[in-house]
Amino acid sequence: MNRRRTPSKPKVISQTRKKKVYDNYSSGRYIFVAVAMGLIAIVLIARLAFIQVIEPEYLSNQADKRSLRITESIAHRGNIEDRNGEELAVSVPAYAIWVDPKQVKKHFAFTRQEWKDSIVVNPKTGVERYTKKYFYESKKWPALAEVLDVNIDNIAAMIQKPNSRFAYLKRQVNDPIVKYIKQLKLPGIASQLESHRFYPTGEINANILGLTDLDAQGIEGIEKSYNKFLQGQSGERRVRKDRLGNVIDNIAVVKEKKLAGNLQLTIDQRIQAVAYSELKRAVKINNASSGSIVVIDIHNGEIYAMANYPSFNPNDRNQYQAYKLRNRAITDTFEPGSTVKPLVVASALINHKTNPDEIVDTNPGWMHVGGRRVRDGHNYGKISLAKILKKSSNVGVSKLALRLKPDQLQQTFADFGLGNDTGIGLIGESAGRLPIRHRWSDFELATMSFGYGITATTLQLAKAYSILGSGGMEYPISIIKSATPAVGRQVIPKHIALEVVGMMEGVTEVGGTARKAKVDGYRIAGKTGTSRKAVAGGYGDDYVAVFAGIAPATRPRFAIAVMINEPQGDRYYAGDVAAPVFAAVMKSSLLLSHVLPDDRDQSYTYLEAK
Amino acid sequence: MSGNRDNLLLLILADLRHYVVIVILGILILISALYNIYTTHETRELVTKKEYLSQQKDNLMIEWRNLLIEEHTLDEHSRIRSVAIHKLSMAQPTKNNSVLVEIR
Repeated sequence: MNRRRTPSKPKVISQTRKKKVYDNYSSGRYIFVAVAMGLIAIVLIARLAFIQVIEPEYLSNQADKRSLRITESIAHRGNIEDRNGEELAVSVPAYAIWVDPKQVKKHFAFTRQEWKDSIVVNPKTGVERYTKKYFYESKKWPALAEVLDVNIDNIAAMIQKPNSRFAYLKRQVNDPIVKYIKQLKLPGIASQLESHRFYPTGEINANILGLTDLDAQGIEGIEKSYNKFLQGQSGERRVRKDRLGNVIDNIAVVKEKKLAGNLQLTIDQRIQAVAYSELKRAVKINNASSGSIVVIDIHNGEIYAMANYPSFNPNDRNQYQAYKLRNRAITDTFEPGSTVKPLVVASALINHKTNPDEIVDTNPGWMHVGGRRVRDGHNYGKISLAKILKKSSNVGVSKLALRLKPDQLQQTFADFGLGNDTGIGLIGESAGRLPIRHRWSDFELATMSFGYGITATTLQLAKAYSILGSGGMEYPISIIKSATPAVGRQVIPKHIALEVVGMMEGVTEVGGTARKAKVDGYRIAGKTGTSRKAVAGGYGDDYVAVFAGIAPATRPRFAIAVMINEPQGDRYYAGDVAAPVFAAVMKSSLLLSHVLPDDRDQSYTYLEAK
Repeated sequence: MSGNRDNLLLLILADLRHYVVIVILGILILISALYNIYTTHETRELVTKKEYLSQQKDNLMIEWRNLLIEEHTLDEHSRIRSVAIHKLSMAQPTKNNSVLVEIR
């Protein structure tokens, strides 16, 4: 700038002006100001450099302390729904109310003496003031006790514990109560978010769903088997918050949030509800000790209903008793009795030891096998295979079994899934007992043909019948809905399975063992089984009443097995005890699933599409 | 320029014009810095808003779950069944009063 200006500047003017300016110019003052300014600048720059370059951590740490926060976002446990999307288990947020006794003790006195000791005199005004309130005079604590439904003496005892810093007052408290407690503004009382599991269907599904503990971990049933899937993971983020607590910046994800999966079951809650209530009624009417029922879709092995009694309401933990929780349909085995007779007939047909038109002579209604006697209720004379099943003739079925080699019969039983797990994938499943050995006495073979000496679960029995109904196709049993259709495996020749199903139709007819299993409009193929329960040293006086069946007989859709354990009274036969349950549940299943009636004798008004 | 020597303002302006590129760059830097501040502020507001909305979403989700429970407590099948039978005197249709319609 100077370079350009100087040549064109007239000297006179500039000199006169300069004179004015420099008249009182003092170089000493100039230097002083310059040095002072320079020093200040240097100090400022040095300070700046110190803050920015040499030690930047201190201040940024201080800033972070005031603004960096970690926020947690809770992942609630996944819902469990039935096949129609109806929720069977839902998690909602709940709160745990806890107390810090030390904080409370700071503000409240528990004895009069303590209260008097807390007096403080203001040195300026001389006014006396109690720093603590007397606990039992406060109206807030009784209010808290009342809203939490906890005895106030318990709360007092909890707080008075020495050196305690944490105690739950109550867990699983819902939101309105928490808001009320916050309004009380009691010192030392705080809430903590947790999750509450709620089962809208109550006792109906308790056995299969199981339940969770207070920390939302599955401890029984499906809740346990699929705990990992249902659980999810709460996420944590590091964020920057402003003065008002608003998040202004997302810094980093500390823990990835993993949303919990929702689980869809194959259960149809409508059928399940009917199954449970019918089973419960049958168990109560017959004074039985327990009962189970399983409904299986024959075409893909999906379980439509699986109910047990006794059950309990999982929403009320006071009812919790281990024996009520057991999913008896998969854990409890019993001797299936006469319900295995159709399988024996199938085995004889498979091994070409009989043909569907054979007439078996059961005269005189009993026979000796290996020195022991096998008896029928009556002498049925010469009867067809279908009649053997209709009348449940022990003699007839023993004669068929004795033509078979033991391993042939066993192989058929194994093909029907006895003695093996069903593929349902739930914890606690029992595989039953199908003894494998080479030497069998004739009597043992005969008793095995009417269902003694082997054990099965209700689910296994239902599966065996569903294999019959599907024309010999075995599908893995599933209770979790899967997107891919189940792949079946042919285990029994199709024509034999269907022939046996046809033979089982007689059971609901006049003279059959289970006329009460009849369902209006549909043809039923089924079999009763009433077996004595084994006790130490032989068979006792208690019975297991079983009915297993398939419907509609011409185009099978559902297989149902009903087991009533230890019915008391005169009517302990399966035809009286278990068959009515079967009929009621089968009727609901067929109607709700819109299965076409196949019994043409029935007077339906029929509109055909043109 | 040469006409009015002692007008400092004009001198400064003339000088600025000489370094016009630098001046423009300086102004641009200034604008950019201010805009940076503005954008940061805007971003923070949006983040806050998003946070608020997701909080709201969580609350709605919780409400939904509670409503779900209420719904399923009310539409529980055995309850509906007993209401239908006892209060409304309904019955399951028998074969005589039902009509089969084939759907194709």
